[in-house]
Amino acid sequence: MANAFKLTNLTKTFSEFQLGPLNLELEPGTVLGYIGPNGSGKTTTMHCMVGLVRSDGGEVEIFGRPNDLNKPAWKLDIGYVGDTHVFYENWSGGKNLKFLSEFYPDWSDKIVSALARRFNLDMHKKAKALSTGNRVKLALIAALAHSPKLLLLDEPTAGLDPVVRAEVLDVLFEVLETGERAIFYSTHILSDISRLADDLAFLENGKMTLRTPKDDLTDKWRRISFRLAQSNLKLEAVVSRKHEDAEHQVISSDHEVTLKQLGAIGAENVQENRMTIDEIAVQILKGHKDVANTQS
Amino acid sequence: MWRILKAEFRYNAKILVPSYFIMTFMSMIGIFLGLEHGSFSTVAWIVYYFAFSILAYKIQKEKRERLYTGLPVTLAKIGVTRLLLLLLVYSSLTLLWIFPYFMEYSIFHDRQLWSLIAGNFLILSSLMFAIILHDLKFCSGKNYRVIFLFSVACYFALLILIVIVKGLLAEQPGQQIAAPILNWPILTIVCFIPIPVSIYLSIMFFTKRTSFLGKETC
Repeated sequence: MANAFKLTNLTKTFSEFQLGPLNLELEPGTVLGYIGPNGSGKTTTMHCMVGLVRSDGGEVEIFGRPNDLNKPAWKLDIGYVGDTHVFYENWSGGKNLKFLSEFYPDWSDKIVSALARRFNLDMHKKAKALSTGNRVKLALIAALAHSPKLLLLDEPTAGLDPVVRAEVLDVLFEVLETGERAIFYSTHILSDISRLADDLAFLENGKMTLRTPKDDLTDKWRRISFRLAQSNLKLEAVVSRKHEDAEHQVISSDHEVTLKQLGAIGAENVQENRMTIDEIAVQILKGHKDVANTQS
Repeated sequence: MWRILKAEFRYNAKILVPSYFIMTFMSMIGIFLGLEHGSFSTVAWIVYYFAFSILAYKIQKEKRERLYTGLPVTLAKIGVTRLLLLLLVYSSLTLLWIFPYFMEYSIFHDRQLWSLIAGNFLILSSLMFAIILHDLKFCSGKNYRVIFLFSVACYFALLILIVIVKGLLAEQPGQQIAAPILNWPILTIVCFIPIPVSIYLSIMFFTKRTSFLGKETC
């Protein structure tokens, strides 16, 4: 079966930024979190994938079909919620969805009604009168109503206050957990996607620094503290280290390797603590080169 | 394609209906006041200007091209739809003042008829040029824009030159207009030529755009 999407040497250059060459693929039914700071190229990747921006080079395939804008059948397989939510502003949410429904043979009004109820969204309100949170909800309904096999979500909760964000994410995850669709979710807030993601891909300055199963990160990464008189240590898999006299604290991307080495050199009072996925992400984005080396 | 067109007409009814109403009203006033041929069409063209300016502003502001590019519709169809919207709105507005105009001025000189047609072709071409210029902002290679603007400038300079020469010749009694391009039917054809060219260029440049985000990125 074809990948949900496959990016091969994708590049896009702006005056002061270059994305790629990017190679990334996603299997059907898998959830991939696309993590990177603002300006790292997440949105540009999404724009290139959905055809809103033409890439300078490389290929994008959606379920085995190139994302050719003159053969747009591939768009039936995707649902996209972007950084901007474009509607007919003077039409109600319901009327906007009615317009969109005419283009998708698999459009389901039942899904629309169920989601609108679940999101508590007034479908009679004009799009221009909707709050940012409600616009996101409307965009999510539009993206989900035709049951796409691949969902592309580009920081859908950006700009929302914490309460609305939590509300949107709760409903979204509840809906997404039940489906068999592939999801590509870009965010700079890892906790948004950590609940759902199978894999995580990290992007920085337009380059992908790491792609790894989420469980590998939470299983392997540890904050380890120990006592050792020696200060000039060379420890394997350690991405960050600080010490005060004989008290050391390190962050290891593979605690088994590090602990084994600490045991061999006679470290005392060794304690290890699990790290949250957000803490791990910060370390990866801060020192991606070390991490990329230690992960391999 | 038709679904987008239908949606645009429904959505823009609040702009179009008043424009149609104003155009009809202006026509009536024009007839009532017995406006000259030239004044009559000038008033109509002012209505075109406002109607299309508001329409273009709204489409731009609401990033409609971005909305359409997200739909499972080919780029070429979206390009054609934009032109059809322009042509249909233009034609319907024109019919509203052309009929009263013909009824009022039932006796027509050939020259008036040809100048009327030529004038409409020119306005339509200008609107298409504006669409092409907009698309060129999103095409890689800034030279396209310069070449296009230069070509348009040359074309209008040629037309102005022809009109000036015609005017000068007309002031000399008994002077025959020898050059075929100075005859109104030929001049009307010259005014028509940019329309098919613009249609082709508009669709071509739209499909070659590097961005449909609604903001300049290249």
